[in-house]
Amino acid sequence: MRFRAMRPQVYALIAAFAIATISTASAKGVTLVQQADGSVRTYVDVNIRLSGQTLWLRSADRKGVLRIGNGACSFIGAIQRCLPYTVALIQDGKTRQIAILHGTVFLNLSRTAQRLPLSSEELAPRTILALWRTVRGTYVTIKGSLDEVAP
Amino acid sequence: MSGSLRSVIALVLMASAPAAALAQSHASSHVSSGASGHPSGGSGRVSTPSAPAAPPQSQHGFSFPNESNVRPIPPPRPVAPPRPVAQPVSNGTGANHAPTNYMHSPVNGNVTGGSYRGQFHGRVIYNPRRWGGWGWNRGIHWYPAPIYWGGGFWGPFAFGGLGAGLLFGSIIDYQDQDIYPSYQIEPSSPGAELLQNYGLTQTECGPPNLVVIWGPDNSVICAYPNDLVAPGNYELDPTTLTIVSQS
Repeated sequence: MRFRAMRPQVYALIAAFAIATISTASAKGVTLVQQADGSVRTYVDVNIRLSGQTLWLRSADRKGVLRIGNGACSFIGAIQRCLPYTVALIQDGKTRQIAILHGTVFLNLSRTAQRLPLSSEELAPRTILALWRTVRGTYVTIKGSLDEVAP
Repeated sequence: MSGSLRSVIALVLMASAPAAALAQSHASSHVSSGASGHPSGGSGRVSTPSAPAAPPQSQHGFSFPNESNVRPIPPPRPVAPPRPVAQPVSNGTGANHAPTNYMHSPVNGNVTGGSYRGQFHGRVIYNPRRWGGWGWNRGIHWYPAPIYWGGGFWGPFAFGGLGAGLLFGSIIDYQDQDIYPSYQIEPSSPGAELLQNYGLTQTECGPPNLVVIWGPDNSVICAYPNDLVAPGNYELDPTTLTIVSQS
Protein backbone atom coordinates (compact mmCIF):
# COMPACT_ATOMS: atom_id res chain seq x y z
CA MET A 1 0.00 0.00 0.00
CA ARG A 2 2.75 2.42 0.97
CA PHE A 3 4.73 1.46 -2.16
CA ARG A 4 1.70 2.17 -4.42
CA ALA A 5 1.24 5.60 -2.85
CA MET A 6 4.85 6.53 -3.60
CA ARG A 7 4.85 5.59 -7.31
CA PRO A 8 3.21 8.78 -8.68
CA GLN A 9 5.64 10.85 -6.64
CA VAL A 10 8.61 9.00 -8.12
CA TYR A 11 7.30 9.50 -11.65
CA ALA A 12 6.76 13.17 -10.94
CA LEU A 13 10.29 13.50 -9.63
CA ILE A 14 11.74 11.82 -12.72
CA ALA A 15 9.69 14.11 -14.99
CA ALA A 16 10.81 17.17 -13.06
CA PHE A 17 14.48 16.22 -13.40
CA ALA A 18 14.05 15.49 -17.12
CA ILE A 19 12.47 18.90 -17.76
CA ALA A 20 15.13 20.64 -15.72
CA THR A 21 17.89 18.85 -17.66
CA ILE A 22 16.39 19.77 -21.04
CA SER A 23 16.09 23.39 -19.97
CA THR A 24 19.72 23.72 -18.89
CA ALA A 25 21.05 21.92 -21.98
CA SER A 26 19.32 24.26 -24.45
CA ALA A 27 21.27 26.63 -26.68
CA LYS A 28 21.76 30.14 -25.36
CA GLY A 29 23.37 31.89 -28.30
CA VAL A 30 22.00 35.20 -29.51
CA THR A 31 22.64 36.41 -33.04
CA LEU A 32 21.85 39.91 -34.23
CA VAL A 33 21.79 40.73 -37.93
CA GLN A 34 21.67 44.41 -38.75
CA GLN A 35 21.03 45.22 -42.40
CA ALA A 36 22.60 48.19 -44.10
CA ASP A 37 19.27 50.04 -43.79
CA GLY A 38 19.44 49.74 -40.00
CA SER A 39 16.79 47.10 -39.51
CA VAL A 40 17.75 44.42 -37.03
CA ARG A 41 16.77 40.80 -36.70
CA THR A 42 17.48 38.99 -33.48
CA TYR A 43 17.80 35.25 -33.31
CA VAL A 44 17.74 33.66 -29.91
CA ASP A 45 18.48 30.12 -28.78
CA VAL A 46 21.03 29.68 -31.54
CA ASN A 47 23.03 26.50 -31.25
CA ILE A 48 26.76 27.24 -31.43
CA ARG A 49 29.28 24.57 -32.33
CA LEU A 50 33.00 24.95 -32.80
CA SER A 51 34.66 22.33 -34.96
CA GLY A 52 38.36 22.97 -35.35
CA GLN A 53 38.44 26.61 -36.33
CA THR A 54 35.05 26.54 -38.01
CA LEU A 55 32.05 27.94 -36.23
CA TRP A 56 28.60 26.51 -36.90
CA LEU A 57 25.45 28.38 -35.90
CA ARG A 58 22.10 26.66 -36.14
CA SER A 59 18.86 28.59 -35.82
CA ALA A 60 16.44 27.58 -33.08
CA ASP A 61 14.01 26.16 -35.64
CA ARG A 62 16.91 24.07 -37.05
CA LYS A 63 16.21 25.32 -40.55
CA GLY A 64 19.19 27.57 -41.09
CA VAL A 65 22.89 27.06 -40.53
CA LEU A 66 25.67 29.60 -40.75
CA ARG A 67 29.15 28.19 -41.31
CA ILE A 68 31.94 30.60 -40.44
CA GLY A 69 35.47 29.72 -41.47
CA ASN A 70 38.13 31.27 -39.30
CA GLY A 71 41.85 31.62 -39.69
CA ALA A 72 44.79 33.35 -38.07
CA CYS A 73 43.76 32.12 -34.63
CA SER A 74 46.14 33.30 -31.94
CA PHE A 75 45.98 34.06 -28.25
CA ILE A 76 45.70 37.31 -26.38
CA GLY A 77 46.19 36.07 -22.86
CA ALA A 78 43.75 33.18 -22.47
CA ILE A 79 41.35 34.59 -25.06
CA GLN A 80 41.69 33.13 -28.52
CA ARG A 81 41.12 35.56 -31.36
CA CYS A 82 40.35 34.36 -34.86
CA LEU A 83 39.64 36.21 -38.07
CA PRO A 84 36.60 35.06 -40.03
CA TYR A 85 37.06 34.98 -43.79
CA THR A 86 34.32 32.79 -45.22
CA VAL A 87 30.66 32.65 -44.28
CA ALA A 88 28.12 30.33 -45.83
CA LEU A 89 24.40 30.22 -45.21
CA ILE A 90 23.06 26.68 -45.54
CA GLN A 91 19.30 26.83 -45.80
CA ASP A 92 16.47 25.43 -47.91
CA GLY A 93 18.81 22.80 -49.30
CA LYS A 94 21.14 25.44 -50.72
CA THR A 95 24.49 26.83 -49.71
CA ARG A 96 24.96 30.54 -50.26
CA GLN A 97 28.25 32.32 -49.75
CA ILE A 98 28.15 35.60 -47.85
CA ALA A 99 31.13 37.80 -48.64
CA ILE A 100 32.52 39.37 -45.52
CA LEU A 101 34.65 42.46 -45.31
CA HIS A 102 36.18 41.87 -41.91
CA GLY A 103 35.41 40.62 -38.44
CA THR A 104 36.75 39.14 -35.26
CA VAL A 105 35.85 36.07 -33.25
CA PHE A 106 36.80 35.93 -29.58
CA LEU A 107 36.73 32.54 -27.89
CA ASN A 108 37.12 31.72 -24.25
CA LEU A 109 37.77 28.02 -24.05
CA SER A 110 39.26 28.24 -20.58
CA ARG A 111 37.50 27.35 -17.36
CA THR A 112 37.48 30.85 -15.98
CA ALA A 113 35.99 34.14 -17.13
CA GLN A 114 38.40 36.20 -19.23
CA ARG A 115 38.47 39.91 -19.88
CA LEU A 116 38.42 40.91 -23.54
CA PRO A 117 41.46 42.88 -24.73
CA LEU A 118 41.08 46.64 -24.35
CA SER A 119 37.62 46.19 -22.90
CA SER A 120 35.83 45.93 -19.59
CA GLU A 121 33.69 43.13 -21.04
CA GLU A 122 34.28 39.63 -19.77
CA LEU A 123 33.72 36.38 -21.58
CA ALA A 124 32.38 33.59 -19.42
CA PRO A 125 33.99 30.14 -19.72
CA ARG A 126 33.25 28.38 -23.01
CA THR A 127 31.62 31.37 -24.62
CA ILE A 128 32.20 33.24 -27.84
CA LEU A 129 31.75 36.77 -29.09
CA ALA A 130 31.87 37.23 -32.83
CA LEU A 131 31.36 40.34 -34.87
CA TRP A 132 31.64 40.66 -38.62
CA ARG A 133 30.62 42.94 -41.41
CA THR A 134 29.68 41.85 -44.90
CA VAL A 135 30.69 43.48 -48.15
CA ARG A 136 27.08 44.68 -48.47
CA GLY A 137 27.17 46.45 -45.12
CA THR A 138 25.36 43.93 -42.93
CA TYR A 139 26.64 43.68 -39.38
CA VAL A 140 26.37 40.40 -37.53
CA THR A 141 26.93 40.01 -33.80
CA ILE A 142 26.98 36.62 -32.10
CA LYS A 143 27.30 35.99 -28.43
CA GLY A 144 26.67 32.90 -26.41
CA SER A 145 27.94 29.77 -24.83
CA LEU A 146 29.37 26.99 -26.94
CA ASP A 147 27.04 24.03 -27.11
CA GLU A 148 29.72 21.78 -28.55
CA VAL A 149 33.45 21.93 -29.13
CA ALA A 150 35.01 19.37 -31.46
CA PRO A 151 38.67 19.12 -32.42
CA MET B 1 -2.95 15.55 -0.17
CA SER B 2 0.16 14.57 1.70
CA GLY B 3 2.96 17.05 2.32
CA SER B 4 5.45 15.11 0.25
CA LEU B 5 3.12 14.96 -2.74
CA ARG B 6 2.57 18.72 -2.48
CA SER B 7 6.29 19.32 -2.57
CA VAL B 8 6.71 17.09 -5.62
CA ILE B 9 3.98 18.98 -7.50
CA ALA B 10 5.63 22.26 -6.56
CA LEU B 11 8.94 20.94 -7.89
CA VAL B 12 7.34 19.92 -11.18
CA LEU B 13 5.73 23.36 -11.57
CA MET B 14 9.04 25.12 -10.86
CA ALA B 15 10.92 22.95 -13.33
CA SER B 16 8.33 23.31 -16.06
CA ALA B 17 8.30 27.11 -15.92
CA PRO B 18 11.64 27.62 -17.75
CA ALA B 19 10.71 24.88 -20.21
CA ALA B 20 7.52 26.73 -21.08
CA ALA B 21 9.45 29.95 -21.54
CA LEU B 22 11.93 28.10 -23.73
CA ALA B 23 9.16 26.66 -25.88
CA GLN B 24 7.70 30.13 -26.23
CA SER B 25 10.99 31.59 -27.38
CA HIS B 26 11.45 28.70 -29.81
CA ALA B 27 8.08 29.43 -31.29
CA SER B 28 9.16 33.00 -32.03
CA SER B 29 12.90 32.49 -32.22
CA HIS B 30 13.64 35.45 -34.42
CA VAL B 31 12.36 38.94 -34.06
CA SER B 32 12.85 42.07 -36.06
CA SER B 33 13.23 45.70 -35.21
CA GLY B 34 12.83 48.77 -37.32
CA ALA B 35 15.48 50.87 -38.96
CA SER B 36 16.24 52.64 -35.74
CA GLY B 37 17.27 49.48 -33.95
CA HIS B 38 20.90 48.66 -33.21
CA PRO B 39 22.47 45.48 -31.96
CA SER B 40 23.03 45.67 -28.27
CA GLY B 41 25.70 43.00 -28.25
CA GLY B 42 24.54 41.91 -24.85
CA SER B 43 23.88 38.45 -23.59
CA GLY B 44 20.67 36.63 -22.94
CA ARG B 45 17.32 37.47 -24.45
CA VAL B 46 17.07 40.64 -26.51
CA SER B 47 13.89 42.63 -26.31
CA THR B 48 12.23 43.94 -29.42
CA PRO B 49 12.12 47.73 -29.79
CA SER B 50 8.74 49.29 -30.39
CA ALA B 51 9.68 50.54 -33.87
CA PRO B 52 7.71 49.06 -36.78
CA ALA B 53 8.94 45.62 -37.75
CA ALA B 54 10.76 45.12 -41.03
CA PRO B 55 9.04 42.71 -43.39
CA PRO B 56 10.58 39.27 -42.94
CA GLN B 57 12.45 38.00 -45.98
CA SER B 58 12.47 34.39 -44.89
CA GLN B 59 9.93 32.46 -42.92
CA HIS B 60 12.52 30.37 -41.15
CA GLY B 61 16.20 29.96 -40.45
CA PHE B 62 18.42 33.01 -40.89
CA SER B 63 17.60 35.90 -43.17
CA PHE B 64 20.20 37.77 -45.22
CA PRO B 65 18.09 39.47 -47.87
CA ASN B 66 20.84 41.72 -49.20
CA GLU B 67 23.59 39.14 -49.38
CA SER B 68 23.27 37.41 -52.70
CA ASN B 69 25.84 36.98 -55.44
CA VAL B 70 28.49 39.05 -53.73
CA ARG B 71 32.07 37.93 -54.22
CA PRO B 72 34.54 38.30 -51.39
CA ILE B 73 37.18 40.97 -51.74
CA PRO B 74 40.26 39.16 -53.03
CA PRO B 75 43.66 39.96 -51.59
CA PRO B 76 45.19 42.54 -53.90
CA ARG B 77 48.30 41.86 -55.87
CA PRO B 78 51.15 44.27 -55.31
CA VAL B 79 50.38 47.65 -56.78
CA ALA B 80 51.93 48.36 -60.17
CA PRO B 81 53.06 51.98 -60.46
CA PRO B 82 53.23 53.72 -63.84
CA ARG B 83 56.60 53.43 -65.57
CA PRO B 84 59.22 54.71 -65.04
CA VAL B 85 59.47 54.50 -61.26
CA ALA B 86 61.49 57.50 -60.30
CA GLN B 87 60.65 57.92 -56.64
CA PRO B 88 59.43 55.41 -54.11
CA VAL B 89 55.95 55.85 -52.72
CA SER B 90 56.47 55.52 -49.02
CA ASN B 91 55.18 58.50 -47.12
CA GLY B 92 58.08 60.63 -48.24
CA THR B 93 60.90 58.21 -47.49
CA GLY B 94 63.07 56.01 -49.68
CA ALA B 95 62.49 52.37 -50.49
CA ASN B 96 64.55 49.23 -50.27
CA HIS B 97 65.51 47.96 -53.68
CA ALA B 98 64.50 44.51 -54.78
CA PRO B 99 67.37 42.34 -56.03
CA THR B 100 67.94 41.97 -59.75
CA ASN B 101 67.12 38.26 -59.64
CA TYR B 102 63.67 39.02 -58.32
CA MET B 103 61.00 36.47 -59.16
CA HIS B 104 57.28 36.95 -59.19
CA SER B 105 55.66 35.29 -56.23
CA PRO B 106 52.25 33.72 -56.68
CA VAL B 107 49.50 35.28 -54.63
CA ASN B 108 48.78 32.31 -52.44
CA GLY B 109 47.28 32.09 -49.00
CA ASN B 110 50.16 30.03 -47.68
CA VAL B 111 53.02 31.93 -49.24
CA THR B 112 55.62 33.35 -46.94
CA GLY B 113 58.57 35.33 -48.15
CA GLY B 114 56.79 37.82 -50.34
CA SER B 115 58.66 38.85 -53.46
CA TYR B 116 61.75 36.85 -52.46
CA ARG B 117 59.98 33.56 -52.05
CA GLY B 118 62.25 30.60 -52.60
CA GLN B 119 65.38 32.72 -52.38
CA PHE B 120 66.02 32.61 -48.67
CA HIS B 121 68.90 30.23 -48.21
CA GLY B 122 70.99 32.29 -45.85
CA ARG B 123 71.64 32.10 -42.16
CA VAL B 124 68.85 30.99 -39.87
CA ILE B 125 68.61 33.34 -36.93
CA TYR B 126 66.84 31.23 -34.39
CA ASN B 127 64.20 32.85 -32.27
CA PRO B 128 65.71 33.55 -28.84
CA ARG B 129 62.64 31.98 -27.25
CA ARG B 130 63.35 28.72 -29.13
CA TRP B 131 59.71 27.97 -29.75
CA GLY B 132 58.86 24.41 -30.76
CA GLY B 133 56.24 23.71 -33.42
CA TRP B 134 53.58 26.36 -32.86
CA GLY B 135 54.71 26.67 -29.25
CA TRP B 136 54.24 30.41 -29.43
CA ASN B 137 50.55 29.73 -30.22
CA ARG B 138 50.03 27.16 -27.46
CA GLY B 139 50.56 24.36 -29.93
CA ILE B 140 47.71 25.43 -32.19
CA HIS B 141 48.45 25.58 -35.91
CA TRP B 142 48.33 29.09 -37.28
CA TYR B 143 47.31 29.60 -40.86
CA PRO B 144 46.49 32.78 -42.77
CA ALA B 145 43.00 34.22 -43.11
CA PRO B 146 43.03 35.27 -46.77
CA ILE B 147 41.03 38.51 -46.70
CA TYR B 148 43.42 40.14 -44.22
CA TRP B 149 46.78 41.74 -44.91
CA GLY B 150 49.50 39.21 -44.21
CA GLY B 151 46.78 36.67 -43.53
CA GLY B 152 46.23 38.34 -40.17
CA PHE B 153 49.75 37.62 -38.95
CA TRP B 154 50.50 41.25 -38.22
CA GLY B 155 47.04 42.08 -36.88
CA PRO B 156 43.39 42.00 -37.94
CA PHE B 157 43.81 44.32 -40.90
CA ALA B 158 41.25 43.59 -43.59
CA PHE B 159 42.09 44.71 -47.11
CA GLY B 160 38.70 46.37 -47.32
CA GLY B 161 39.45 48.48 -44.26
CA LEU B 162 43.09 49.40 -44.88
CA GLY B 163 43.42 53.06 -45.56
CA ALA B 164 46.36 55.23 -46.45
CA GLY B 165 46.43 56.36 -42.83
CA LEU B 166 47.69 52.98 -41.70
CA LEU B 167 50.36 52.80 -44.41
CA PHE B 168 53.83 52.43 -42.96
CA GLY B 169 56.03 52.77 -46.01
CA SER B 170 56.49 50.25 -48.77
CA ILE B 171 58.99 48.12 -50.64
CA ILE B 172 59.40 48.79 -54.33
CA ASP B 173 60.56 46.30 -56.88
CA TYR B 174 61.96 48.49 -59.64
CA GLN B 175 62.54 45.63 -62.01
CA ASP B 176 58.98 44.37 -62.07
CA GLN B 177 57.37 47.66 -61.16
CA ASP B 178 55.63 46.33 -58.07
CA ILE B 179 54.97 48.07 -54.79
CA TYR B 180 54.51 46.10 -51.59
CA PRO B 181 52.78 48.34 -49.06
CA SER B 182 53.56 47.92 -45.39
CA TYR B 183 51.36 48.72 -42.39
CA GLN B 184 51.87 49.32 -38.71
CA ILE B 185 51.46 46.06 -36.87
CA GLU B 186 49.12 45.47 -33.95
CA PRO B 187 50.78 45.08 -30.53
CA SER B 188 49.02 41.81 -29.65
CA SER B 189 49.56 40.10 -33.02
CA PRO B 190 51.83 37.13 -33.73
CA GLY B 191 54.01 39.52 -35.71
CA ALA B 192 54.42 41.69 -32.63
CA GLU B 193 55.46 38.58 -30.68
CA LEU B 194 58.09 37.91 -33.33
CA LEU B 195 59.51 41.42 -33.10
CA GLN B 196 59.49 41.31 -29.32
CA ASN B 197 61.32 37.96 -29.28
CA TYR B 198 64.10 39.38 -31.45
CA GLY B 199 64.12 42.73 -29.69
CA LEU B 200 63.22 44.52 -32.91
CA THR B 201 61.31 47.78 -33.28
CA GLN B 202 59.16 48.33 -36.33
CA THR B 203 59.80 51.35 -38.48
CA GLU B 204 58.49 52.65 -41.75
CA CYS B 205 59.69 50.74 -44.78
CA GLY B 206 61.61 52.72 -47.34
CA PRO B 207 64.98 53.85 -46.02
CA PRO B 208 67.98 51.60 -46.73
CA ASN B 209 69.75 49.38 -44.20
CA LEU B 210 66.68 48.14 -42.42
CA VAL B 211 65.62 44.67 -41.38
CA VAL B 212 62.96 43.70 -43.93
CA ILE B 213 60.80 40.74 -42.92
CA TRP B 214 58.57 39.10 -45.50
CA GLY B 215 55.52 37.45 -44.01
CA PRO B 216 52.48 35.51 -45.18
CA ASP B 217 50.65 36.55 -48.34
CA ASN B 218 53.43 38.80 -49.63
CA SER B 219 53.24 41.05 -46.60
CA VAL B 220 56.29 42.94 -45.47
CA ILE B 221 57.35 44.91 -42.44
CA CYS B 222 60.56 46.73 -41.59
CA ALA B 223 62.49 47.19 -38.37
CA TYR B 224 65.65 48.80 -37.11
CA PRO B 225 68.56 46.35 -37.02
CA ASN B 226 70.08 45.33 -33.70
CA ASP B 227 72.91 43.14 -32.41
CA LEU B 228 70.97 39.99 -33.24
CA VAL B 229 69.51 40.87 -36.62
CA ALA B 230 71.56 42.69 -39.26
CA PRO B 231 70.05 44.77 -42.07
CA GLY B 232 68.73 42.78 -45.00
CA ASN B 233 65.84 40.72 -46.23
CA TYR B 234 64.40 37.90 -44.14
CA GLU B 235 61.68 35.34 -44.51
CA LEU B 236 59.77 34.16 -41.47
CA ASP B 237 58.76 30.67 -40.52
CA PRO B 238 55.45 31.03 -38.68
CA THR B 239 55.82 27.56 -37.13
CA THR B 240 58.69 28.61 -34.92
CA LEU B 241 58.68 32.39 -35.39
CA THR B 242 62.18 32.04 -36.82
CA ILE B 243 63.65 34.22 -39.53
CA VAL B 244 65.96 33.21 -42.36
CA SER B 245 68.16 35.71 -44.14
CA GLN B 246 68.20 35.98 -47.89
CA SER B 247 71.93 35.33 -48.17
